[in-house]
Amino acid sequence: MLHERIQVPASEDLSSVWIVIPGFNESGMIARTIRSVAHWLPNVVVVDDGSTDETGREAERAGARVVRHCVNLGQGAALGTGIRYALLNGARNIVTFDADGQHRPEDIGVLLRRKEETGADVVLGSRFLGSTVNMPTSRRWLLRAATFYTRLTTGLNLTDAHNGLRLLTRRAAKQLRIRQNRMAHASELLDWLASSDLKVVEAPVNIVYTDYTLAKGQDAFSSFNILWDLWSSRLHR
Amino acid sequence: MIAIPLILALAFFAFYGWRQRRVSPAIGFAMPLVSLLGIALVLRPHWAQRAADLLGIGRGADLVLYLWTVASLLLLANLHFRMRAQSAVITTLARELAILEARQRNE
Repeated sequence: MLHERIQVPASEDLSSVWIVIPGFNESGMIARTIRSVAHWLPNVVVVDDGSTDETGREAERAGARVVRHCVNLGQGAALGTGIRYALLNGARNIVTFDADGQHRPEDIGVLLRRKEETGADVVLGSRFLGSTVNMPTSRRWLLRAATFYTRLTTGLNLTDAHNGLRLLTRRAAKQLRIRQNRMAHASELLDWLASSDLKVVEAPVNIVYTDYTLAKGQDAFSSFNILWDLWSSRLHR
Repeated sequence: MIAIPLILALAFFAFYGWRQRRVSPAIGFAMPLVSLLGIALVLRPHWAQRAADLLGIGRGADLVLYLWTVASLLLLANLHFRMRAQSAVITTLARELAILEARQRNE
């Protein structure tokens, strides 16, 4: 049996599902992103990561709870804050969701169903198991390279390494410590998962690339910064 | 003439480094060591040439330059790691502040 609109198992208590959206200067898109999920999920928290625009106010007007960093710390730090806030408010399942509108809200249901079917602690969205719209070839190759590197360094048999749409159960979220404030947090998360006893599975999700998401996304140069952050953090624990 | 101010400056750095040993063991060890080595080379410049000959480096001045480069890189790495540690503290503070403020606002 499924909830009528969102294709989530009826056993799932939607009030215990929290959506965590990190946002930095996303006033152009944040309200639309929140409205796409908030009409069927009551708990949406936006972490306004020291934005200099109206991201926080727009998010509040759209119905999200807003946690504001007084300074810009980075997406990893914002996710860490949002996850901690959700845990303090009793979340049983936490879904991380990008602010730029590249994710489809229906895919939250896909993650929840996959968790229900497999009993996994962590469900990672994979665009390569699902589909993409307008993904540039360069981005495809960059992501393939990142996935290959992740397989090599973690041993996790994944198809997508840097997807912002993921689900963490309370058990997993309580153990998670994100130390990488900026974009290297996605690789750090996978490193940590590989060394944990948590069950990790992937689920097919869909990503829509637009001019807006591409302008906000990572380029090839960013991947060098990510590698530097990861390697230098290994020298200093 | 320049030997005396140089020795005084190096002695000051040796003392300062030693005083920092509880805050930063790496600085507490490395700074006095490098400073005392510097004092020795100011007083006995030919030691640098002798060490350079032993290591197969042409001139004593080159050896000092190489050692200085290595010491500078180590110092930079130390500063980098300290900045990372500071950044982690700032993140924790900003996070707790943000959550506290949000919870108060939503109560």
